[in-house]
Amino acid sequence: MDKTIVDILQQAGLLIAELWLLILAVAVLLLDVFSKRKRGYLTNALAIAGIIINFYFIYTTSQKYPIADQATFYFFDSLAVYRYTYLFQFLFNTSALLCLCLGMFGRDNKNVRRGEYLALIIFMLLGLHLLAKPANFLILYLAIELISFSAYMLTYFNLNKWGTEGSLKYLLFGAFSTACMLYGISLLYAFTGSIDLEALQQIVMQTDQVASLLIVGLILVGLVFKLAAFPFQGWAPDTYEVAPTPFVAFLSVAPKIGAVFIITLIWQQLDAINTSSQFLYYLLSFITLGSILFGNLGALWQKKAKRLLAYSSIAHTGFLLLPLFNNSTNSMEPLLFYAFIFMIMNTAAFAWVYFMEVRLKSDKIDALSGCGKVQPFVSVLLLVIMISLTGLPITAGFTAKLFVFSELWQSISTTNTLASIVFIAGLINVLIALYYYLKFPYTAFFKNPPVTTLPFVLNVRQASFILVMTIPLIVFFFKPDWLLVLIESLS
Amino acid sequence: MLSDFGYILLFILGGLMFFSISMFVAFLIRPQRPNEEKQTTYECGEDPVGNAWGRFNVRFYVIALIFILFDVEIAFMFPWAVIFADNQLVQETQGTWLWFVFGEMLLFISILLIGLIYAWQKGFLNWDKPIAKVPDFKSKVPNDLYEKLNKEYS
Amino acid sequence: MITIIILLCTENLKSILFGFSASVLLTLPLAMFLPEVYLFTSLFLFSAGISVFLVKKNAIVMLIGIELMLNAANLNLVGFNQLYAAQANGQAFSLFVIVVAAAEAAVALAIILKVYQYYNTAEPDDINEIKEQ
Repeated sequence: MDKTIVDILQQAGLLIAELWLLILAVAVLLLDVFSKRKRGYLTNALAIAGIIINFYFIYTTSQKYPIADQATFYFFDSLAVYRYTYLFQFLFNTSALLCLCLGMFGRDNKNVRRGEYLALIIFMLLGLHLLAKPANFLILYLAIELISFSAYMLTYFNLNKWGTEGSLKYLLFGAFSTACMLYGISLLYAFTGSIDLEALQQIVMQTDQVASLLIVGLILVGLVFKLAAFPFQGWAPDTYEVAPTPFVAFLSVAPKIGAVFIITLIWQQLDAINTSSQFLYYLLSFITLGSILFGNLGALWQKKAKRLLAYSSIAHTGFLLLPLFNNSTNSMEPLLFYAFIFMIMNTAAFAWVYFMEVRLKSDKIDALSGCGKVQPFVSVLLLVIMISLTGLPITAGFTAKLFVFSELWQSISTTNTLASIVFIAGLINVLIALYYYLKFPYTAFFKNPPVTTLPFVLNVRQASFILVMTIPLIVFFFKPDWLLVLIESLS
Repeated sequence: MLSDFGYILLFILGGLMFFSISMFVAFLIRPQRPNEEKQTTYECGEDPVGNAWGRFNVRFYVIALIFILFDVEIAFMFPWAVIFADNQLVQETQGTWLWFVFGEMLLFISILLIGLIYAWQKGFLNWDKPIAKVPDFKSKVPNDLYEKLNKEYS
Repeated sequence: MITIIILLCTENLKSILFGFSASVLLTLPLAMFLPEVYLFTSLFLFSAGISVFLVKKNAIVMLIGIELMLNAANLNLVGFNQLYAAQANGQAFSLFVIVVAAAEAAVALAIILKVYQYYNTAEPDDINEIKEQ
């Protein structure tokens, strides 16, 4: 028993990044409560500095607790370091950093620099850090709830009437789906007596088909809801529309990628045994095809930029899940490449929308008209972002889609016939997406603004933020191996 | 050695003692100036008898929300208390176990305390009273005229 | 078929009946290989929670439904811990669930209070302004 303390103290270093985030959140909250300056730039700068320091803590943890091909377990098998744990933590951290940097813009938008807002973003990041290394369902459940509660509250932070509505609906359905997931976990415990992720293997091998499918299905409900994928995507457009835009840039990327990571973990557990796999592939193709189709068709008729991007992110969820069809071990790399590029281009797009909101107090796409004539260079950046979101050449969005689809192609050539349908449908959908993404640059370049209003322009700081976000999209098209080297070095 | 139900009896006795001692001390210390409002069951002015569908003041909810969080914190303290003074563990580790476990609980409570400080500093614990508006309208009809009328017709 | 049942269940008594019948339907296939009492009770609680969530209109009552679902999971965790008594995994899990449920109630009530301030109602069906904005 003496070993207990020694073990805990030795392994406490694994949680140093999480502890740092906890301290940071508390510090931000207290600074905001006690500081006299009400503009909030100071607290935001503190939060940004803290998150930059957190990169160092992730680095030291990765040196001290190195990754291996197999997961290594800590804290009496409740936490684990998987091969891609630190990479995902790096990704979440970057996404939060970009979100907070966006908050620095907009003199009148004080709400995105409030202490509570910043602290909740950091708490959400803490939950995401835990989500990158769960070894049992307790940690997984707690991480998901930490992320969700922060998200429910953050949705309201425009502090207006519509904010409460979106927040309430998000909360009710979110709580419902996590309750379903929890019930699945409790059934799993009832049948196997274990709450480890490995218990899933046991349940599929030992018990009846109906029970195991019920359990796996219930657990997937909670995750698919977090993912905003097909059967549970309904909350996304409303929530995205009312939430503060910098937060949406975070919400539409980080929790989504986290949920994909957890689904891959569960997939690996289930894939080890091949009993019910055929059904699982039906389920997977239902989710992916559904979200791609629903996202694209929903986006076609949208007039507001934020709603359009919400539907587009539902479609991107489907593409993120495509590599799961291939059950070989290295299938994480295309997913990670896609996740990185998705983070950059989605944040850039939402940054653009946020700048529109800051200046015009509206996110109608029509408000862009005439922008291309006044600021041709900046509008070309918009064109690049949108082409990248569609997935066409000379942008990294194309490379990401190429990797994902080639992964899918391999799984067609090996066994899976189902994958071929998904492959063709996915390619058709890229063409559909072209229509609504090009609405943005089309309006900017070819539509004339009403005579009474001045066209929308970005100031120098805003334009340089967009430029910084756009450069990687072009660079990684010509040099995708640079990003792959980064992924390789962290995994 | 006590049986299991003996412990429960001890708890009941302890609870009664705690209750009666604190009430007695309060009885000694407090000033006694009763009035009709103070004699009601809930001093805050809520009527204990009446329709169950009645609405409570919104300000009670804020206090209740903060109370819930500190109330539920106790749920973690019971399992903690069971292993805190575990003789075997304490002897095996020469007492470091006590410090370690105590430090963990201290960390947990201090995080909650920061929440309380936050709520306090933001003024969520203040019972903001509604300010009664005194109308600045001056009527030409003097007040005693009303009283005369009242007397006449009552 | 299911939608007809849901439509019929607008009244109190019927919603309870619906919950019970749904629980029986869900229980039958499971009961064949794990005949434990906890499972019946928790399944009843879970389906009652789902039916309350689906049938009721007030947001607070919907939350009560969600709490019922969480408690169903708790019952499973605590009850089945008896079978696997070597570790107290299930009981520890249920403690965390209780605390998370309390936090959830706090967050939800705070949001519902705000909604009530703006809309003067707490029924999600009546609150539909985002699309008209």
